[in-house]
Amino acid sequence: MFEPVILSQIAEVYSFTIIHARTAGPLVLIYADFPEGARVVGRLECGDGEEPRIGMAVSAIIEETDAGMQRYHFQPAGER
Amino acid sequence: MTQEIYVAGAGMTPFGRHESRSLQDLSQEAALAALCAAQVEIGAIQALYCANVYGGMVLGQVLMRDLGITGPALYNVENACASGATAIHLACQALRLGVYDTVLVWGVEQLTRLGGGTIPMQRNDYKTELYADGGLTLPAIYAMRGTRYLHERGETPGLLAQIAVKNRSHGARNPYAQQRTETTIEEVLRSRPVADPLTLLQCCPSKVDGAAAVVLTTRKPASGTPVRVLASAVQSGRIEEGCDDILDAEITARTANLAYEQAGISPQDVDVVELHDAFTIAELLYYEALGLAPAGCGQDLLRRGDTALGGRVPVNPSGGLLAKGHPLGATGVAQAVEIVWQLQGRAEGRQVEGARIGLTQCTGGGIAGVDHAASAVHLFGV
Repeated sequence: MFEPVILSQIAEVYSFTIIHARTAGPLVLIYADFPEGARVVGRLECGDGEEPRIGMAVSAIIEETDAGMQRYHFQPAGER
Repeated sequence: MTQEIYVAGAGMTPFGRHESRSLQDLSQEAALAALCAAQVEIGAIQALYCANVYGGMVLGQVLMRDLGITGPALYNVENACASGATAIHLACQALRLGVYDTVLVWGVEQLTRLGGGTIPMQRNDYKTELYADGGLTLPAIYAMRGTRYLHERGETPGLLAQIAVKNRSHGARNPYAQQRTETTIEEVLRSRPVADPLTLLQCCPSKVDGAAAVVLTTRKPASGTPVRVLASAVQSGRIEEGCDDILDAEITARTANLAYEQAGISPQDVDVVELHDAFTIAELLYYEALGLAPAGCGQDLLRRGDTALGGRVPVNPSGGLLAKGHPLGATGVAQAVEIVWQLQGRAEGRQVEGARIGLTQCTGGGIAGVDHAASAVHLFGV
C-alpha cells in the first residue's frame, strides 16, 4: 500500500496550530501540502515577527528522530 | 430492524473525580441503577458487555464477580472513545438475531488515576507514535481542524467559544455533569491556551471517572415509556491519502447515513442529540456530518440557537463531553442513558419537551492515516 513519491522542496501551509505545553515554549505545528498531492505534518520554525498562516510557502528540512526514523520540519520560504 | 429492541432501564453515576471509589463501586452503582429501572432480576441477564479502555484484562469479569453476576457470556469491548457505543451495538446485534433476549451493557473508566492532561495515545502503532512524537496529539489534531474551519468560513475563535458556552450552560443544569459552572465567550477565550485556537474550556475534562449502564431487551416492557433502539451503526476509519479535506468528518457522515437508513428516518426527524464534543470544533463539524445542517451552514445552526435547550434540535443537553466529562469507556453508554431519559421525560432541569427521536454519536481513536479509528451512531425513539 505504499508508493515512493519524490517531493518538491517547497510546500504550502494547509492548516496549523500553536501548541502551548506547560513544560516547553510554544510549538508551531503545520500540515504542509506538497504539489505532488502529499500532506506532511511537521514543526514550523518561525523567526522573530514571523507568524504561521494558511497558504504560506514553507521549505522542507529532513531530520532523523532518536528512533532512527525520518521526520520533517519546515521554515518559511519567503517571497517567491 | 426486524426484531424490536427496547431499553428496559438506564442508569449512571455522576461523572467526576471519584478518587476514593473503585471501578467496582462505579460499575455497581450504574449497573444496579439500570437493573432497578428495568425491574429485571439479576438471573434474567443472559449476557454482559463491558466497555472500557484503560482498565486491563478481563475487567468485566472482575467487576461482575463482585456484583454476583457470574456465568453468562461476558464480552469486554474496547474501541477507544467509541467503546461504550460499540458495546451497545454488539448487544443489539445479538438481540436482533435472537441469541439473547435480555442483556446488560455498561461502560466504566477511571481517568483520575492517569493524572489528567492529554490522554495517552496508543503505543501499538509506529505511525501514530511518529506523529505524536512530533506533537500531533489529539488536541492538536482537532486544533488543526479548528484553524482550517475558521479560515474557510471567515469566522473568528469566538464562534468556537460559543459551543463551550452552550454546552457548559446545559451542564450546569445536569446533576450528573462534572463541570456545572456557566461561562462566557470572554472567559472561554481567556482560559489557558492549549493548541490554538483551542483554549482549556474548549477541551473536555480528562480527569474524570464514571460509569453508565443500560439493560437492553427484546421483551416489551409492561410499564413506563418503552424506548426502542431504532438504529445502531458502527464503522471503522478508511485510509485517507494525500491532501484530504480535514473538515468533512467522513467516518461520522458515513456512519450516520447507515443509521438513518436503518431507521428509515431523515435528520430532520431528530429532536435531540448527544454528540462527541471532545473539543468545540468537533460539534460544529458534526452538525453537518449528521445532516442537522446543510454543508457549509453548521455555524448558522449554532447562531440561531437551534442547538441550545429550547431550540429546534438541542445538542448535548447533558452538557456533552465538554461539561459532563469524558470517562472514555463510559461515554457512549452515558450518551444513550441521557437520550433514554430525555425520551422518557425524565431529564429534570434540562428536558427537551416532547422529544420523540434521539441520536447519539461518538468517534474513537485518533490514529495516523484515517479520519478516526471508529465511529458509532445510534437512534432511539418512543
